[in-house]
Amino acid sequence: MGQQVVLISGGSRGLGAAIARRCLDLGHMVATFSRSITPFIEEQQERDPQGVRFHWSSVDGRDDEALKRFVDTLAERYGGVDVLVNNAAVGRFGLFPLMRLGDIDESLDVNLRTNVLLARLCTPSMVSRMGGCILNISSVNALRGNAGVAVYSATKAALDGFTRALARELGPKNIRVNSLAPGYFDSEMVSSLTERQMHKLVRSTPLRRLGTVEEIAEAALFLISPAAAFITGHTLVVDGGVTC
Amino acid sequence: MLTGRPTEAEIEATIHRTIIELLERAGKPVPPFDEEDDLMSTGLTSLDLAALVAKLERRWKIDPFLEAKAITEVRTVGDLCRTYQEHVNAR
Repeated sequence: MGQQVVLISGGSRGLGAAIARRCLDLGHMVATFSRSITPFIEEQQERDPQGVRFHWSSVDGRDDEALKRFVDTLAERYGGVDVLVNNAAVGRFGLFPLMRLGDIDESLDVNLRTNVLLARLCTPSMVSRMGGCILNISSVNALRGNAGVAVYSATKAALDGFTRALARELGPKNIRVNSLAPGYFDSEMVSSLTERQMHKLVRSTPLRRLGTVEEIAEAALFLISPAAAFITGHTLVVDGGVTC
Repeated sequence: MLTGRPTEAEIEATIHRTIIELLERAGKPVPPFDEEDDLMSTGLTSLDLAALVAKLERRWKIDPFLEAKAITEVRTVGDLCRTYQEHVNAR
């Protein structure tokens, strides 16, 4: 695969940063945004002060105009987006009847609306260039019911539906659209779990451990690579067997 | 002077009484508890807590957890009482 322009939402930390790092290792050009700068972003900016292969801007994903400006900038500087990885998400967990409306809105906005809007902004140039790839980062919570994650699950299941419909719609234009549904892996989202909860999670996983962020990133890299050239509309579950 | 507004002591008593009602309705033992006790140590489950908030909303027409406060900020019985004491009469 030649050099691709990869836009990763939520690429400043965690899984998004791990995918970004692997894309950079493979020689791709990576663009990402976040509200505030992170150590990962600073590291990349130090390595590439001219922004030849790494571009970051301070953008609030809930600001439509700012998102559009960000995607327009990529078109001007790099000729458009080849691969969109929709990874932006917030985890606002808790019992649904007690959930704050603000947390519900934020989850729907960041986990779903921002990612749908990014796809809307990136797909016209993919269609005109007859090629592209979209990877939506879903979750095993889209596939199995778990208490305390109702809204999060709804947003991720919505992304999976979006994946399948968009794959049908854009397939004839050689644009692949897939979902990746990670199980529980070592990340900020599980860092708040108690030792007992963590133990329970591990016990319910056939492989008897949490995944690593690198393992999830590798699966993402596979789906956006030519090795997955005949895969579209698919949700790849990477969960150590939790949902089997 | 009668204002129709519950006092802080009345709010606290109502919350304590409602916790006890919920525990009794669930057929659970009612342990002695005070302001410092963790809400969950009373025997309430998280769903009972949701029922408690619904009962208090019917009484005072307010759900402080809808917008103003995250339930995760409430750990003890006293935290819950203070939340209602702050919000019930602030309407």
